[in-house]
Amino acid sequence: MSLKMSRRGFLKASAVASASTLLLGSASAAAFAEDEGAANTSADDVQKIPSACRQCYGRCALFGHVKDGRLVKIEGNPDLFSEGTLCSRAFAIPQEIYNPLRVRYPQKRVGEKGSGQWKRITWEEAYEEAAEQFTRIGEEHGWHTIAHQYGTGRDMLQFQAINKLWLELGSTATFGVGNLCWVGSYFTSQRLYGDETQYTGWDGNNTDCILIWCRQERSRGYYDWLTVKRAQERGAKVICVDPRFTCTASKADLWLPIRPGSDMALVLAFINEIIHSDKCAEDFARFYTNAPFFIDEENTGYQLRQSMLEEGGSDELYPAWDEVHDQLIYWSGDWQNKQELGGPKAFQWLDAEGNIVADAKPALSGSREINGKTYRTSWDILVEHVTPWTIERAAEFCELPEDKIREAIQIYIDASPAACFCRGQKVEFSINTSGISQAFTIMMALAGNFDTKGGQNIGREPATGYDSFMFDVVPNQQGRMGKRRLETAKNIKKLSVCQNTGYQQILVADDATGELQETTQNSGGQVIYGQQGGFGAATTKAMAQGDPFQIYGYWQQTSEPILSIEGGHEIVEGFKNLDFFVNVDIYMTPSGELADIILPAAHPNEVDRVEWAHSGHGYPTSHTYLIRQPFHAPLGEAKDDMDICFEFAKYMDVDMFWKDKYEFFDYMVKGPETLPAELSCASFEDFRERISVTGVQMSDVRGAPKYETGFMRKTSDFRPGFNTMFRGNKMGSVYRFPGTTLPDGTQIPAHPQSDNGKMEMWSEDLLLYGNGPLPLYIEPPITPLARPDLLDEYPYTLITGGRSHAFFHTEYRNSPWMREVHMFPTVDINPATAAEHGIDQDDWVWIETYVDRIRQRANLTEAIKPGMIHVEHDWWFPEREATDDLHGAFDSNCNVLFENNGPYDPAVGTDNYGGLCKIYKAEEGAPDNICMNEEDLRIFLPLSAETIASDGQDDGVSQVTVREGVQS
Amino acid sequence: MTRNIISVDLDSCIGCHSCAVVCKQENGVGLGTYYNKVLTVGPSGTFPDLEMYYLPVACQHCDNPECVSVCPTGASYKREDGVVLVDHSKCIGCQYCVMACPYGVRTYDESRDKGVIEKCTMCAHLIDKGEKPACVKHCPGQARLFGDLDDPESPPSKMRATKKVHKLTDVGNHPGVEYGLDKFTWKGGE
Amino acid sequence: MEVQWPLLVFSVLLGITSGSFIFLAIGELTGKFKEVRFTGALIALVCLAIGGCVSVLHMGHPERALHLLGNLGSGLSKELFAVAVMGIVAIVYLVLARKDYPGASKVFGVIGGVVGIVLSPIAGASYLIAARPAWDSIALPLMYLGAGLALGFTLMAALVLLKGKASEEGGFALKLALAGVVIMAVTTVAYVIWIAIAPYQAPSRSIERLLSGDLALMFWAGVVVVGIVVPVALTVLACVKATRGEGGSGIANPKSLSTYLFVSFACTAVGAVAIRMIMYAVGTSVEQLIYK
Repeated sequence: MSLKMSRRGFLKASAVASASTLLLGSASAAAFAEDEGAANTSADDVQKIPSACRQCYGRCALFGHVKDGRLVKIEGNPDLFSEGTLCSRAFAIPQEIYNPLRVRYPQKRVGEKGSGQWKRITWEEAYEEAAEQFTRIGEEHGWHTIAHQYGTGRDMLQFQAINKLWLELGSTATFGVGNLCWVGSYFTSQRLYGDETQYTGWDGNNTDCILIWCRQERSRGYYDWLTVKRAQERGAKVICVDPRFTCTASKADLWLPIRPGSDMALVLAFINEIIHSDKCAEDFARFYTNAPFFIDEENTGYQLRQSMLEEGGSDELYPAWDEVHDQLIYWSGDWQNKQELGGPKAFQWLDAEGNIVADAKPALSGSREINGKTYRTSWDILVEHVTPWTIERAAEFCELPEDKIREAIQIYIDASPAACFCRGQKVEFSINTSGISQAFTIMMALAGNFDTKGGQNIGREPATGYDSFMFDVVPNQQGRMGKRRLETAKNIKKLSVCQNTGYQQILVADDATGELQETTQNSGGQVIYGQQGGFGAATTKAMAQGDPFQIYGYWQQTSEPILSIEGGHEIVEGFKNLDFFVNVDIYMTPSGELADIILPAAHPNEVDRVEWAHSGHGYPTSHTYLIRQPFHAPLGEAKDDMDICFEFAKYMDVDMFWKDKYEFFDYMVKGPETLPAELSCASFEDFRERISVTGVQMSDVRGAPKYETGFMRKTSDFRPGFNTMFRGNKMGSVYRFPGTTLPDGTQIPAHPQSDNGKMEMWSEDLLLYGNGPLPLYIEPPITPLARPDLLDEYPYTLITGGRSHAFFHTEYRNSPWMREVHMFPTVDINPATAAEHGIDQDDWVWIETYVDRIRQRANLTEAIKPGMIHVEHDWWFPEREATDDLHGAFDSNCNVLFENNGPYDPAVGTDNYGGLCKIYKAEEGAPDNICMNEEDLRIFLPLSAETIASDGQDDGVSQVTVREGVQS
Repeated sequence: MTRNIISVDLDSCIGCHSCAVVCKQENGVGLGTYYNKVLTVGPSGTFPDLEMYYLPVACQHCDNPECVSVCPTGASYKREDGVVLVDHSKCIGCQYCVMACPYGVRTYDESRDKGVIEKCTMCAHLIDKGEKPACVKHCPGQARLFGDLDDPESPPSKMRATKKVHKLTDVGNHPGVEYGLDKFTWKGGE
Repeated sequence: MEVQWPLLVFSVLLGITSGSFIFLAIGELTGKFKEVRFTGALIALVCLAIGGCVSVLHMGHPERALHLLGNLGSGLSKELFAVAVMGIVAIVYLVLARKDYPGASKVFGVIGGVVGIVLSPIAGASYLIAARPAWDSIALPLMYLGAGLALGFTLMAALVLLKGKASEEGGFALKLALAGVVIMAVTTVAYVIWIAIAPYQAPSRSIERLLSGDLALMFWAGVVVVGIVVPVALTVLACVKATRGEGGSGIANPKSLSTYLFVSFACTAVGAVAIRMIMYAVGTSVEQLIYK
């Protein structure tokens, strides 16, 4: 396919001309407005631009048909992983770009916060005022009193730019967002073995079993379903674990309707059965994990080091017992040769004299007495931990029939090492998200599915070898980290909003008895994305209550925390406290209405990016970069989010290292010197011509798992084993644990180095974050088991994790087509439960917890168990005005049903998003002023080019509404 | 003879509504009008013993279309290749075809070409160019299968040969669309 | 489906035309009702014309009516054809009735009666659609015919009585009117029975909707009481009075009898509207998949 596409120059040149020529030139103005079909675009005057979809995580390949500078049609690109398929959201792109609620010019608030009164200003005025205000706040109160925030909204490269800008400025607090999804698993598997395979990396193409844990086929990246169904057609078995009878459950061969929040019991049963089966990957455990290491249980709690056994011993030597020579041997983790145990000795078993024991066979099991003390191996501790977690116990915890659990585990074990696992985010919404991710990792590893055909690809292998993280890694490697950032990092304990989240009460199941016991958990400080202080509740408390310090400034880009996290009302309070708040977004949003300045962001299909699929997805999807390039210049004066960061960095004297985004894109698509020429692009422009690049799986190339061939090592030493250098902090700048005192007075000493090339199953790193070294069964805080006292008033289990095929989190509520297929926030309720309350299909009902209540519309369905309620998340009503309850941010927003006072996941700060509720008919019916039918949705139809060109938004964005008596 | 049809493999359909929305784009269908809609059948049974499938419905391009026989002007007609169409230049908007259709897939659309009948065209403008209908081309489950039922190699014929196929209730109109469903019990009339 | 008002009004007016002409034809054959020929035919023609105009409101593009020749086999084309013939016959008859050409008048009167007999059933036959089980029976066009007979006969009989012809002609007219309402009652009941026994039963088209559901008020009050019981009762009463005279005096006042029949006509019309509204309400297709 030869496509001569718009180049960088196009954007630069047309940015000036955009409003006038590009838009006015269009005769058929109302693309996708009602009176016009897109069908009749003849080939001659239509440009067909290959690009990628950013409407969810899937990043399907598509073409935009552009006529007279206006996008008139979206079409699937059959040449890439999405095979030409597109879900409905892709076709909403034009409706999003030309939406009446789009912000096209910088705006400054002129009324009270939330009054919806705005005046257009210039970019320069906006940047200057922002620079002045942020500098004043930074200098008066400290730079840590400015929070910043990015949503899951746009893309990872944009996230890098925002992150870098604000870390360099010394900001620490964010609302997190990532800790509601993916980060828990990413963080955890990074710490266990330096990479991840939870959402991604499952080899559905060659598998005999796909274990799908709380993931819906039709939530994002729909092309995964093609992989799943083809696997089924080949005879592979699909197991679905989900409390609800979802689409995935209906397609699966076996469905386990698990009790919400009890997942850990089931994973522990999986691990238990795997460990006691002949499929258990004992050799992997013996030679590639820390299973044979002894644990210093009595004193430090850490993995035993030689230094703990003898004066002057090395803390890079990890003792184990050699079954071959019946002697104590030591694993050398000194790959950096800091203690002269490196070089040829690194990642070898050494005897007491320091000689390499080439044929050593470290014992997995067996306690040993050394210097008068008895030590157990981490394997024995793991086995002891999981052994009581029988199928019978799991059945009890998960409210599942034993035979179904047995069948599921048997299918998985039988298919291993060609069994794969993928999960959704629903398991993530818990205070044990890092623990459950650890358990999943152990399950996959011990079933022998690491880097096997049909198992899990355990290493992220970007198409060119360089992924988005290099944006920050490269300057840091070159010592270009700014002074303020370094200072902040050093003093993070004082500067983090998480500093007061130390201890919390949780309910942990005792291994031996299975009884829930109240336990005090030590929080590890929630280190996320290189900064401490990244989670919603902590930042909310800082803004709203000044705890632990007041936040005065805030930069938010493509995010909506009022909707996406718990405690929305308190977040509004916090936003009202702020001295200065800049919001960068495409639309007017609830939180945007509380900002001082709004900067108009370009739509994702108005900018250049290197793009890749963000979740799910086996090969080749997982190994493909594809172009996302503009269909036309951004409307009005909107700018690419990345460009905004680069431009504002100049006003703030921040060294972004990269001259602009293109310099980084060039670097990224070129890849390292070692990259085969056919995978390397000379430049981003070369990549644009190529449309996509698909890399290779090293396990295929080498015919062996990457941990055997050294490809898990990011140090380029190609030693067999894992890469653990990123432990402690992903970016390489490691904050080691300084030591602490437990509530019972136990002193935990400072943590020694542990980058030893072994995968951790019993995890020293997670121990440091407060989880404990092994995955524990933690009962969520608001369940019938945890809070029987609430049951009289709130008898029903409430869950919120389901995803809609029409929306992507808070997005597309302003798309007429998406709302047409899914008009209302919908609560799922079993007909039997509904009947008890006189609730009929399509009734509006109140869902009430001890915190708050919301309204959604009832869907009576057997897909949900009697006594269980599922509500949809992230609902707001853009058709309502700013003064009308912040665009209806609270009527149906499920996250206000939960409190934000913890407990949280100790490692990543995830809050609890499920609970107990009651439900009753809303006599008042639907919320006021919302679209009730297709006719109402006409207010959201795309604006014509003429309308767009004629409206300079001098007094803000014209609100469209269906409120009676208001002309929209 | 040619009998073009869009059959649907319900075992592959994930009820994502892509077909319904891409159709709006391709055919400029107005809000409130649908050539194509996806219904959820079930879940039936009692939790947790359930069955559920999605049923995308559009014009069935019947072999003996009542909508054609009742049309007083010949605006509704069946092409040689099996596609049932409405010639908007002849349609007087009497709506008898709406009444005659057993499936409620035709509508009187006042929003666009005022006063005529709208329904699925099998994307005749695309298939005449040798392309697939838009909904077939983009279906994320590749559940929608376009082709000639008289050609044993066409995707609909192949599905018929490998799956249990069902049709919507036939009152003499002989619906053309075949629904493949192996996993669950067909809940419609035959 | 929703009530199609233009079509409903059209079919009721068409019934009047149809019944009126049958009445006049009987008059021609029996040499009666001379006084009402012109008025009756005029009313019939006006009803036909108004009905025709109203039915056009139902169409999106009446200006494309030329295309109506596109499919002569369709019910609507037949209906249109019948209406056109009726219209021509009515106009000719009207002219003939104005002048006095007894032979020609008789011929066209009878032709008018024959067209009248087929007119209503042809209109009703358009609804014989397999997709809508509650319509798909000969009972429906017969019901249309029955209503037409009752409407036309009561109206014409009322006119006859209004002209003061209480005795012989009036008595005959009353008997015809009685026959009309009885046939109407029988065909209406027959159609309701069809609803109860139609194939592809579904809640949306069940007899329960009429007997005890959301349509019960319309059915019991509109169809049964106002549409059947009252017209039949009034017409019987009128017949009795015509035979026995007021208060058994043997002399009936034709004008007061005509009032009975006008009321009977009006009630029949209300009943005809009501049963048609019910007919649309239960006229759901076998599978309402996209549009309800």
